[in-house]
Amino acid sequence: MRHLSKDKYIIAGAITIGIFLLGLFLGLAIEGKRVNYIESVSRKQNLDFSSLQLQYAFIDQLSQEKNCLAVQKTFEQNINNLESTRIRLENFDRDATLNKNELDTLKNEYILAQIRYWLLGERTRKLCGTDIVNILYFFSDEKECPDCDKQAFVLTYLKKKFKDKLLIFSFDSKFEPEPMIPLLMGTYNVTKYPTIVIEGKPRSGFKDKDSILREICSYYKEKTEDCVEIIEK
Amino acid sequence: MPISIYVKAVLWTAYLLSLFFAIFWFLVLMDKETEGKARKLRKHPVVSVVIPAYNEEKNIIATLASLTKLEYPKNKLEIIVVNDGSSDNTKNIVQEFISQNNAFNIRLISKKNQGKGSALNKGLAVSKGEFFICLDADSSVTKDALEKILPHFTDENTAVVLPLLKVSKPKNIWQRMQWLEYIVNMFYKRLMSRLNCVHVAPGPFSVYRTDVIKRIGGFDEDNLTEDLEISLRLQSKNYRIVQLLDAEVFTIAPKTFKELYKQRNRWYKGSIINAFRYKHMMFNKKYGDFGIIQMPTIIISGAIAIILVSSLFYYGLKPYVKALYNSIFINFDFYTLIKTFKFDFNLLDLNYAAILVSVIMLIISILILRKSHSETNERLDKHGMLSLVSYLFFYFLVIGFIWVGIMLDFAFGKKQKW
Repeated sequence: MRHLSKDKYIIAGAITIGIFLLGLFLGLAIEGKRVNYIESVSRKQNLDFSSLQLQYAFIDQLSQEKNCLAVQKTFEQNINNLESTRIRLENFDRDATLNKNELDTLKNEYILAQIRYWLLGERTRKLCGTDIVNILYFFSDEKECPDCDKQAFVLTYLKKKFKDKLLIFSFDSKFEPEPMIPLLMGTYNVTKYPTIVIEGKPRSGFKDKDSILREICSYYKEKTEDCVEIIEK
Repeated sequence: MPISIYVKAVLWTAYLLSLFFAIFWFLVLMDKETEGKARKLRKHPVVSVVIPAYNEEKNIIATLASLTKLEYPKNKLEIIVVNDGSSDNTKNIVQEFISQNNAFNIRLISKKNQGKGSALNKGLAVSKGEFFICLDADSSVTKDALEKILPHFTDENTAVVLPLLKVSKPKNIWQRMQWLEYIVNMFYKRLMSRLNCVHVAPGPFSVYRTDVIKRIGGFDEDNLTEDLEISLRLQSKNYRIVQLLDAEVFTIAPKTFKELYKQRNRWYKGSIINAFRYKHMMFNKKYGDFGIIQMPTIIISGAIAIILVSSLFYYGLKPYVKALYNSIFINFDFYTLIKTFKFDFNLLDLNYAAILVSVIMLIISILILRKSHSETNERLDKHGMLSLVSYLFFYFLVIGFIWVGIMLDFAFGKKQKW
């Protein structure tokens, strides 16, 4: 009978499982931290929104249009914060195992926040006469929408180009718990993905940089360099 | 990009299995009782060295010369060169060497080309020694190797004793990475040897008991890796194979990727084919640790290499390939992207599971590298930092790539020649 190192198999197995469990707990602890982080950021962002809403109400009530510019800056900043947290949340949600529910609730909050900002943006445009263009972007998962990845890439690029003059709000059409999503999709006849809604006009299927550029430029009062270029073409 | 739960499960299994093996062999290292002891060599037995040579006109003289320098009684040393139907000048060169060194018992046998296994059997049939040594023509021995090896045949059951094999004068990065690989591999095989788990007796200067290999029927003549096959056969008959770390033998390593690929494709493919041939030993308690851990390792190590390398390539490169592809749709306007780039980093964004795995693997690799070097009396930085870094971070990709190639060969049923 040949030698069998039974004891070594047991010890090695136990240590391996120990390290695995340690990693598992570490993972769960980090997941918990991620939920806490998003929760606290979101609380702060809700506060920011209330404040912003109040600032516009104040301008409206007392006809303080000279303050529009400063408040507009805050608006832009808030929206950027919102977007970066939303993307981070999407990433966390993708990797999540046990805290999926908490993260989905947070995702829901971000959908509402986006809609709130969009509506606020619409109202302030009338109030302050800002030169902005709105895009609503409806996306789905990779299986249903293989083109969403490049559409998001193009939109991110345009946002970087136009900064505060272009507002993009992204909506996960797969997110069912929030009734606002089907409501929006019904309003704009979204049946295919990706669909982008530029100033209320839906365009379904992947749209490249130039075609979006051409369309949004037609809305701007003050044409930027890129707009002049694309119109000349 | 979401990683499906099945892929995650496979990745974790691969990782935990590697971790398990690493811990297991670490426990073997810690356990001093498993170390075997040598006895004193009282008399010098007759030893036959067989050199199978096929078109080796470039290397054979160095190999023969190293044998003549062995510290061993000339009348107890029988050297047999089996010319396996060389089409080059091997035959004449060896004949000339014999006439110049007539103090030595050197013989040349010529036969038609039938492969290494058949050449070894031809040598085995005529060898008179108590011990039989196979020596590849691309290898050379240090002068005290034999004196150091023979005392380790402590009992009748010890069938093979293996020397410390190193890469001869590594010149470029490929050979230097292999130099490190051999050092690590030798240390690993030394650990295996403690549990009698060695599964291959490589061509350069493996010393066999002649009567044992004659009894089990000599070498397999139709095998990709006859050295691995005979070791598995010996293990299946419960013989002992001992790996040493002090008798040094040098071998010439492939110096380009193409040569390396060809060599390893044959080695690894041979190991898989032969492992399946001896699958009755797999997970079989009758064969002790060899059945339980070593036989599965031969198969699993290839699978792990394929899984790790392909997932690393897929998940590591896919985002970049995608971003590059997506850039088509913004007319490659990287300037805007760079100009507006904002560094938005949060500690919570990091993938801690991946970091934990990489750190543990890196620490284990560095510890193994250090220990292997101290055990084989080499300096860690002998061939420079570049080769160390390339070995740690690049070489496993090369090996993984070779395994992927083998998988494809098997999948598409490619025929293999020696």
